[in-house]
Amino acid sequence: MAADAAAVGGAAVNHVTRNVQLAKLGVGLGLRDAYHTDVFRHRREIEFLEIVADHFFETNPSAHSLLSLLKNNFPLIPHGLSLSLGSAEGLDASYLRQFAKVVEHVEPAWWSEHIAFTRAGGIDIGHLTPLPKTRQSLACLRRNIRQAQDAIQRPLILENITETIRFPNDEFDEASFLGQIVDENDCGLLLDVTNLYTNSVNYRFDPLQVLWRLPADRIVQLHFVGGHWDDGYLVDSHSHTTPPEVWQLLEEVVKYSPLCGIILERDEQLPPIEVLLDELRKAREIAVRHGRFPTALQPANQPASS
Amino acid sequence: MDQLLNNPVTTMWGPAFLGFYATLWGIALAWFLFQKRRIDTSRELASLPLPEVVDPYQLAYLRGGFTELLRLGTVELFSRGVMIEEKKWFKVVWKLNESKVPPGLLTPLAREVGHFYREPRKPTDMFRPSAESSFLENSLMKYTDPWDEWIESEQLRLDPNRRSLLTTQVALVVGGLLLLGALKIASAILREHYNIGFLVFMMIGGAVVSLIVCSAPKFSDRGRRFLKDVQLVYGRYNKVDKNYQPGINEPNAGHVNLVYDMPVMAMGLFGVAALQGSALDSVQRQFQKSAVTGSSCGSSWGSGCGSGSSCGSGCGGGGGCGGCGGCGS
Repeated sequence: MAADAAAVGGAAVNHVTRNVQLAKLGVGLGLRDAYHTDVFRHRREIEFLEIVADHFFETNPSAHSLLSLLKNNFPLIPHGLSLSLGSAEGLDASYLRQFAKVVEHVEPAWWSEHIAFTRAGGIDIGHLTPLPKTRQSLACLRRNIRQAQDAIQRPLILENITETIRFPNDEFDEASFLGQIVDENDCGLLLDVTNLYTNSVNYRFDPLQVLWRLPADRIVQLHFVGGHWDDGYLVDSHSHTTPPEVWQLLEEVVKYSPLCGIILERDEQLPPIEVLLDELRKAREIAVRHGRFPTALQPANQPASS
Repeated sequence: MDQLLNNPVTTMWGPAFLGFYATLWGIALAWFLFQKRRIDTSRELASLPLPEVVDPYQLAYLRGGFTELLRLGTVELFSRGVMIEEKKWFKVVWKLNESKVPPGLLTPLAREVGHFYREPRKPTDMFRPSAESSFLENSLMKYTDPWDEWIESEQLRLDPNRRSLLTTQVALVVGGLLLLGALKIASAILREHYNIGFLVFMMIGGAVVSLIVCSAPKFSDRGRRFLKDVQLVYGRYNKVDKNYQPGINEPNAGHVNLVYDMPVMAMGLFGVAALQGSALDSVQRQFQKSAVTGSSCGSSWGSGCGSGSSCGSGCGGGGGCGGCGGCGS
């Protein structure tokens, strides 16, 4: 199946996924349809965009034109939803091929996917599902990640998800599982601070104890946003402004790791862009305060004077 | 004259001449296409970065020139409830209802257009040459002059001199080929050969195809890219909401702080077609009618022909008496 997927990026496999070796992109936004116009209007304040690669799989000309336009105006990071790196049955070659095309077009500094499975027995689950933290899962991930890296030869970073379930046969805790995955496969870590916080609340552990056991040089990018409470559980719904606890944890991560990018990932109850820009400013202040990013914003493309 | 009608070309055997003549048309068309590409010096330029704030008037002017600007000013007056439409028998009159909206809520450009409607007027009046319409055009120059400079400096339109040079070259070549065909016909008739139908068809067909192929596009390649990019980013404003009601509306609806009313943004960026089916549909229909009955085509380069609806958003709407044929180069 790997042979079906188009190789991207030239002959040499590019697995450079230690943050000191990657470009510092700054603070940006996960692009959603509702903000297409806004991000262009406020591109002085948005240093890069994370796009959902799946949204640009269509071959229709307007999706392709939009992707080109975005590329000309922002550094882009393609983010996958359904590659299903944890599927025992392997990757969907067609999905991987389309993902590779998007990456080829965008030429990003890195690309990202989740440590999860979304497909089993040929059926799409429609949800990011956590993996049992076992050696078997590590082996399955290793095989699938290798296939993805062969097809898309740009640095891959992997995201931790919220654990809606935990398996009784887990052989690793969260920190050692994540650490093993990124070290074994030479991947970066997309640390979703909100997910880490959500898991720590729902499963009652100290998120800092997990953070400090993660390889600091592998943390390339962060996600952050606010969720909501439902029947005593914190749900990672991407629907609210970032709560103070997540801001505190984010600051700890920024102190701990010389990361390359921070993305606000809002999906539900979308507020006016100004609300999101306030959060980006705050994240930027934290990163600048700890010397992670330069003081001055680094917008990709200056807008034309009207 | 005898030399013209009796030479190796005009006395050529019929089928051989048709082959020769078709080849000449083919070469001419290829040359026209080459010249058409050559006059657009903006092809190599990078796309123009999008403005942070899009001015629908500026975009309307780029798309359709002066006429589109007037239309947009009129739409703003309707949109703000300042202008109303009155029907008397079969006559439609537009008139101001100034008490409705304080002038401060109108853009300066719409206020200028509003002066034109101090007296009730027919929708076509604005586009017909008159002292008032000339005065209006002059009063809007303070807005359009900087836009002209911008359009020229960014090479968003084809250089008019190059366009007219192309037109002259095409006219000369097409004229020459038609003359050759006519001479062959005369020569054939003199020799009592009357099977000239296919040659006549070839002459007409060649001329028509040349006109279609060579209609110089109004926009340069860079201008077309710029409009396409703006329309792509503002794509969700390509139709005025059916629930939209004229009046003093809050422009900052939804996620985007629109400095302008929705209909003004929509029409400015996408042409009058954006008004179809909305509360301003009748205004849109009057514009379409005025494009037919009130066409002036003379006041400035914008002219009164294009409406935006027939050209499609892909090429940035209408405007210009040359029609829309020049969109796809």
